[in-house]
Order: sequence, then C-alpha cells, then structure tokens
Amino acid sequence: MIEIDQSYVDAAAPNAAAIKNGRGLVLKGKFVKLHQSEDETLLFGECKGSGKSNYQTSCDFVRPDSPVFRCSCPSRQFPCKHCLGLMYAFVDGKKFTTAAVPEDVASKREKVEKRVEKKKADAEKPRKVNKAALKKKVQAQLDGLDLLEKLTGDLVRMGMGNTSAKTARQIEEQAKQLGNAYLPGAQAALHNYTKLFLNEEGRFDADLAATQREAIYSEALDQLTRLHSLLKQGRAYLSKRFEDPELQPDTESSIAAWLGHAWQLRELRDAGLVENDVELVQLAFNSYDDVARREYVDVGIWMNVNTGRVVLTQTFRPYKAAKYIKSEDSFFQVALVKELCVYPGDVNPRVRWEQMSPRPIDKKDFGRIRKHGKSDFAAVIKEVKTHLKAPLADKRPVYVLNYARMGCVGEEYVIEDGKKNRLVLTETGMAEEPRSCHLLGMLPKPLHSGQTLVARFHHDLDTRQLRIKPLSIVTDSAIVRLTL
Amino acid sequence: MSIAALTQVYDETRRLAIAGSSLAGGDFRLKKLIPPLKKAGAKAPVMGKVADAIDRLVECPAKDSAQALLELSTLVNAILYTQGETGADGKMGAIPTSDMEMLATTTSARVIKPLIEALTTTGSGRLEIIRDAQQRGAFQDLRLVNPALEALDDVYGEIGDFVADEVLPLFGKAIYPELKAKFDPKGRGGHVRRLRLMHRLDPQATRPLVEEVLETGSKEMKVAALPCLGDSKEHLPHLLDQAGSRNKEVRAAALKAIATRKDSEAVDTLIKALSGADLEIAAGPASRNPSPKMAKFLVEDAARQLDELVEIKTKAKQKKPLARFYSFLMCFAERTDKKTVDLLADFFERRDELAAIKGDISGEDVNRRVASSLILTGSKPAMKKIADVHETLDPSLLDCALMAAIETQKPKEVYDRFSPYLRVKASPKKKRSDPALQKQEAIRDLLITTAYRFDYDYWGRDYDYAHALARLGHKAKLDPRWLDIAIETDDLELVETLARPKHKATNDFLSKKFEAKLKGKDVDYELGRLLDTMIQTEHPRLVEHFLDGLKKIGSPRRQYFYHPYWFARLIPQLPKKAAPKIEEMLPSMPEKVIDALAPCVDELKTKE
Repeated sequence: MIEIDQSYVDAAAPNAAAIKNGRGLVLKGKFVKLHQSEDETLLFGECKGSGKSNYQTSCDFVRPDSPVFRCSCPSRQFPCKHCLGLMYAFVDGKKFTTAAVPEDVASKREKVEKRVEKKKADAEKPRKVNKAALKKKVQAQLDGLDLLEKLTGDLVRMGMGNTSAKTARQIEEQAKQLGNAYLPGAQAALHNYTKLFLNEEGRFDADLAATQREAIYSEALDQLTRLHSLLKQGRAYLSKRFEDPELQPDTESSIAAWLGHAWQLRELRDAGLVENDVELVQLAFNSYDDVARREYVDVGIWMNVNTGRVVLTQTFRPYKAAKYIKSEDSFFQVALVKELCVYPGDVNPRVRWEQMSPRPIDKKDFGRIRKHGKSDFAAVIKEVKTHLKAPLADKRPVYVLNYARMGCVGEEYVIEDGKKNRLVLTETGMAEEPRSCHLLGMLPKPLHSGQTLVARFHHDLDTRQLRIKPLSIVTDSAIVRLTL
Repeated sequence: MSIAALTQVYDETRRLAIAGSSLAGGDFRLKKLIPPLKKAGAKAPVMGKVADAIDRLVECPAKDSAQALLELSTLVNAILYTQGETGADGKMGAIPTSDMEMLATTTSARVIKPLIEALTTTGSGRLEIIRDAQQRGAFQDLRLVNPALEALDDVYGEIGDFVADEVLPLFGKAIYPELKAKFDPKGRGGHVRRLRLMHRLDPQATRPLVEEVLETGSKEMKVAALPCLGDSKEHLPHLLDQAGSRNKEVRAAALKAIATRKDSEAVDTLIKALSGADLEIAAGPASRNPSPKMAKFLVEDAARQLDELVEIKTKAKQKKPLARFYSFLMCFAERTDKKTVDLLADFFERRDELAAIKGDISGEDVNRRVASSLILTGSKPAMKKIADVHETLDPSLLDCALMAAIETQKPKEVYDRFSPYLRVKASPKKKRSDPALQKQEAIRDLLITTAYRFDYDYWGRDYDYAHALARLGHKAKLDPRWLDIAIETDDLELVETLARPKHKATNDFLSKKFEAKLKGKDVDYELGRLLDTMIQTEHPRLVEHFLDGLKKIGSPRRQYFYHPYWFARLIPQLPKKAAPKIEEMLPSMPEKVIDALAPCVDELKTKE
C-alpha cells in the first residue's frame, strides 16, 4: 500500500513551479493512462507531452524510504512534473487500474536490486585502485599546484596594490586550468582572493577605489598566506600519494577537501568516520551565495546532542544547476540519524546522512544542549586561538557558550562567564549571515543572564580582536534564532 | 612576548605585499627589527624564527622573494591569531531593553530569507511578497524588525508606506530609538514616514522633532509635521505661522490642524482664509470648527452671499460669485447645528431662484449641494420636507428626495410614493429630454447605488452627495416589492442589485436571461454578472448554468484572456459539489482556460 498525501508530494517537489505544473497536468487531463501494480507498490502511467509519443512515468515505492521516480521526459528536474502529477492524481483519488508491472520498469527494478546487492557486496570487497590512473591524476594535481605556485608568486611579487581589475580577471581565466587539474578546492581558494577585487556591482569592470582597497588588504594577505600553506601542505600530501597510490585520502586533516576531494560516504565509512544512532538539533541555519565557488550554499549548524559537538551540514547548489537541486530549509525538530558520516577536519566538521527520521523537540533536549555549552570562556578562547593558528583552519568556528550575564560595556555588547571572563559581540567580518547584534536589546530581560549562546568566532586581522557573532540563544524552553 | 615588535613586522609584511615582494630585498625597516626579535628569541624561540624568516626575506634574490614573504607572513599571522584581544574593560551595564514583546523566531528560513530580500533590495514583485507575509502574520518575528525599518526608505514609495502603516506599528515603541537615530529633518520620503511613525508610537517624545522640522524641514516634512502638533495651546503660534506659509500644501495642512480649535486667533485665521483665495482648502476645516463665532460667521456670510448673488442681473457677472458660493457651501458639510439646518432649509426653499442661473457651475449644482448637505445634517424634519415635495422637484433633485424618504419614512410608504416613477414608458421620440424618463433614471440610479452589493465607487461624485450616500449605507431597508417591479419592468441591472435568495420569480428571470445570453454568438460580459447574482440568490440551477457558461467560454470561437477570469473568481463561491463536475470538464478546455481555473478549483475543494 502506498501511503502518501498531498504534503508528501509537495515536499518532494524541487520548487513551487514544479508543484503548480504537476497539478496542472492532472487538471488538464494529460494522463492518458493511470495504473498501479497488483502489490500496490508501483504507480505508473502515460502522460501526454508536446511530442508525438507519450511520456512513460512511474513512481516506485517498493522501498518506501527511498522511492524511485522514473520518466521518459527529457527534464533535468527531479522528480519531474510528470512524476509529481502522477502522485497528485493518486492523492486526489483518481482511478488507478491494476495492471502488470511494465517490462522496462520490472527490468529496472531488477537492476536496482542487483545494484543494491552489488553495493553491499562491493562494500565488503576490498576496493581495487587503478593505480596507473590514480598516479596520472596525482601527477596532474601536482602540476596544477605548480601552476598555482606560479600564479601566487606572480601576485605577491607584483604586489596587491598593483592587482587591477584586468589582472584579477586574467588570474580567474588561468584559474580555470586548476579545475582541469582536479583541484577545484585550490581554484576556489584563488577565487577567494580575486573576488576581493570585485567592485560594488560584483564585476571586474572598474578598479577599486583607494579607500575600498585599503579595507581589503589584510584579508587579501590572509588569503595569500592561505594559498601558500595550501601549496605546501598539498604538495607534501600529494607527493606521498604519488609514491604510494594505495594510500587512502587523509582523514586527519581537511587537506583532501581543500584540494577538492569530494568525499564519498563509502570512503568515510571505510575510514571509520561514522557515528551511530545520533540525535541532532539544528541551532542555526544560513544560506548564502558563494561567489568564489559559484554556488549557493545552505549551511545547517547542528549539535550532536549525544556528544555536544557542533557539526555542519552543507548543501552546495552550483549556479548552473541551482534550479534542479532542492534548497534546504531551517529545521525545528530533532533529527534521529542511524548512521552519521563525519568528514575529516575542523572544530565543526561537516556531516552527512542518508536517512533521517524527525521527532518533536522537547524540554529535555534544550537541557541537553545547555549542558554541553562551555561555561569557561578562558578555556574556549585558548582552544579557538590554537585552532585559528593553523593556516588552513576554518577561521569562523562555531561554539556553544553558557554565559552568566550579557550586558554592555560602552557601545559594545558583551557576554561574561562565571569567572568574569568576557567576550565581545560584533557583526564585523561576518556579513554572510543576517545581522543579529541589534536584536539583543529587543530580547526579554531573562535572556540576558544565565542562558546559552550559539556564537561564531572571528579574528579581525586589522584590529587584532577575537570576537563573536551571536547566532542563537538556547533557553530551557526554546531556541531563539537570531539569524536564520 | 614582544607583541609590539610582531605587529610592526606584520605591518611591514603587509606593506611589502601591497607594494610587491620584489622590493623586499635589503628592506631597512624590516632589517631594523631583526636584532630586537633575536633578543626576544632567547626567551620565546618563536621570535627567533620570525627574525630568521625576515633575514631570509631581505637577503633572498627577487625571484624567491614571494615565497620568503609568504613564509614570513604565514608565521606572523599564525602568531597573531593566538594574540587576539577578547575582553572589554570597564563596567558592564545592562543592555538597554525595549518594550518589545518577545516575538516568535520559528519562521522558516525559506519564508524569512525572501522576505528580507524583498525588504532590503530592489526589483519588481516585492510588495506582493511583503503584503502576503503581513497577512499571514509572518512579521511577528524579531529578525524582521531591521529589514522592515530599512524598507522605510525603499525607492518604491508604496513599499515604504505599507511598511510604515501596516508593519512597523506591530513592533511598538521599541523601534523608536532606531527611527530617531536615522531621522533627518531635512529629508523627504522615508524620513517623512519616520516622523509620522514616531508620532504615532510616542507623540510626547516626538514633539521636539516636530517643532524642529516646522522651523527647518522640507515642504513634505512640514505637511507631515503639522497634524502631529495636537491641541495644546503652546503650539498654536507654530500652526498660525505655517498657515501663512508661501506653499499651498503647507497652508492646507496648517488649516487642517487648527480646524477644531476654538481660540480666537485660529478662528480668525480660518475666516480670513475663507474670505480669500484659500476658500477651497479652508472650507473643510471650517466645517469642523466648533466655535460659535465661526458658526455665526458662516451662516451670516452664506446668507449675504446668496442675497447679493440673486441681486446681480447680468449672467456673466453672476458666474464668479456663484462658483464661490458653491465652494462656500462646503463649510456646512459636517455641521449639524440648528442654525445651519435653518439656513440650508431656507436655501432649499429658494431653489427655483437658484435653478434659473445657468453656467459651468449652475444653480442646479448648488441646489444639489444644498439638498445633500441638508440630508447630511441628519435633521429629520428637514429631510421629511425634501421627501414631501418630491412631485414638484426637478429630476436632478429627485434622488435626494428618495434618499431623504428612505431615511425618514417606512419602506412601504417610500415604495408607494416613488415606485410609480419606475413604471414610466419611454416615448421613443424624445428620449433624452423627457423629464419623466430622467426621473425614472434618477430613481433607478439611487436604488442601484444604495443596494449595490459590491464596493461602490463614489469617485466622480460630489463630495457631499457621496457622503450623503455613504450615510445611507448599503443596508438601507427597501420594500421587497422593488424587486418585483424590477422584474416586471425587465430591468436586469436593478434585478441584479436587488436580488435576494429563495425568490422564485427572480431565479426564473435570471435563468431566462442567462439562457438568452448563452445563445448569443459571443461571450457576453453579463454572463459573469448573472452567475454572480445566482450565487447570491442561491439559485437551484446555479451549477448547471455555471457549467453551461464554462462550456461556452471553452469553445474555441473568439476568446479573450479575461473571459476565464470572470468565471475563475466565482468558482470558490460555488457549492463544493461543483468541483468534481468542473474538474471533469477541464481536460476538454484550452490550456489557458485551465491554467486560470485550476487554482480556483483547488480553492473550492479545500473550502471548509
């Protein structure tokens, strides 16, 4: 029996237009055939399109937790409007006659089963590495690093003051070669430098005014040192892999990801970077446009309430494919994850899961979050500084802090722990998230003492101050979100 | 650790990175830093490392300088990252809190983000998003306070106004400091909205700002500031001052602000304005003024004007004073005192004298204004008098008589007296000039206006007549027989306005008309209206007729984009049982029609 309702179909749609179009197909009577299999696990039918022959559409619920949508239409949206329409027709109570499973679906089902089995078998089998290919790839990456070194060297010798719109554009052009050298991460790091020289309209058309330039030099120098470290560490890591192709990607640091390695869940599992039966609560959410990577990024900041570790989910939606990828949204329940894959790296590692079931959040959960909050600021500050020291570290780590008091010193907002250690709150340097400091004055008084703050650290290179941006406040009965 | 030396190194590396590392060779400023760092290196080895890195940089050939500079900068940055200042010295005070009630913050990012973008960016379609969010209550969220404040200055004025009137007041006084901080008394647009809003939130605190802008503000600002001054005596000089402004808009605003004051200076100012070129802008305020002096002046002056007017013999010379008298009558629009009633009643008696004067603004116009003003006074005896003389009245005054009758007499009586006007048969030859026909039209027009089910558009009507109509309201009690006579005289428009549920004759009439229209070659505009009426009358054959109509607009003969919309907007009002029938028909219709109807069918299906 297929148990779906309208909200299920709505949620499956990649965007609002797809919902409208899917519904439209049903109302316009475009479905010429509506069937379901005898065992009630498969919906299938034919939908009229603009062409001569009808589209063969099917929704396979043989495994209800991972349904398969198939359609012979050329749309890149997934699921396409025809699959959505088919489900809407079903939800609306249209008549679906029982029919034998079409041959092609049956064969595809078989293939899926085989694939699942094969996957299982593969997972157990040791993985074979095509050493020659890997070597070739690593060599290409090393060559890419040589190019990056040359580009960086040129930039530094020429001086940031002489980086004009023209040179920035030229570098962007050359940076494309890094993509060909399997170094998308390095390419993005270079873009992070050149994007600083974009004018207000986000173009390289005109050179920046002197005052604007002055404001970006510290950041630009930091990016250059970062590129330098990336080169050094990347070369060491790749040389090692070149020598020994059997070597697995590095799980101790984030260097593999920096160079652009796209971790597969299987690799993470193999490396033992898996946690089981995890409960996650989202503390904050953000969605921003990463110009350097040419992607929209949806970031969820979560706490693993079992361990208290703050982790991140990241969904990348490249500009070119943004239409076809579902954007993430903020999440207000507890996510129960059977198997959580944790990426190697930082204070706030990236996590991913394949299956998750939600449950309502309750008072106990807030209590658990608060218990995991750090009450000794001095220790946290020390930890953050040690972390920031590494050139390739995430420069904006998120921590959960229990504060005794929140108040004002002069014009500045400050939080204080039990031992009177203070941290200053600021927005500067963290423009990707909506502003939040001004909201503190609007909060009710009880929130100004004895609560838990989710905060992002940031070291300002010009003023040499380590400050935090408030993201959310966790009370014993709610998470008060200050950003998204 | 010598942080001062380190920051110096950092500044020098930054300088060289800007100028280009090829200039680093032998750089004396960096060289100078080596000895103290080496010395510090004895205690903190990392300083020694920095000194070595500087040494390498200043000694290396230009081609290796980039590497050496980045080495040094990496090292210095790493150390400086561990030296960030964290605390803040000084006494910690409480955060100044606002009275804002804690607002929910569980609106999802998918709603909040587009809304923030709509409020803070430019482009089309934003007002819709904002209005929609306001209706759904999405603004009950702390995080939207600032974006909403920013929207006050939106380049699209309507967004600024909407936010100022509908959204920001939700947040209460708490946003006051933010409003004040950004306020520019010389500004326009957003700043004018800020002033109005601040006054709305806290009139007391805004008072000094209001005074300031009256001195130095822009024209728009002054116009906005004047109504904020309120009734207190101390501000009267400001208002009187502005009543003499060179700008008409400012004068109008000042006169409006002193309208209800009894102070003799205020009354004199108004009287002076009434006697001069500002009559138009002073009449409204004067009509609201409660002082006896004003009442006396208005009555005496109006009587004098009329006496003088009828004395003038040449038509050309009458024109100007008549126009002025017509405007002056506006001073009585909101007055209900006995003297006014007596005066207007007297004017009404002299209607024949006035009717003789012709022109752009004619004596007839004046008579209508007098009659309307008289009705607006609410005086029952006066109204009764107008209603009683209906037989003697000119067609242009007959609707006022009916209006007065509806206000003062029983519905049955009104019907008996006025229904005969509807039974008049037109003589085909002199259609336009036939007074009987003009009277019929006047009665029809008023009935349709009063009983109109939709929002009546008073635009284009005289101010006082429109107000008299509005006073009557849509719910004027009418005798049920008006509907019968409308059917009898085959008056579709009147039937549509008067139709009521479960009236068999009406339903039959509507069905007959609908079927006749359906037979026409093209889609008739009336089809939509007829169906609309049938919804009101709970017509037993409503669904059947609707589907017939739908079939007609779905047929491929000449189609216009608006046809489906007439039908689509009615769908949610149909009985729920119609939904499957419409859905059944949809597949056979053209795509555009389906696109228009589909969302409405959905709405009908989900109707409670």
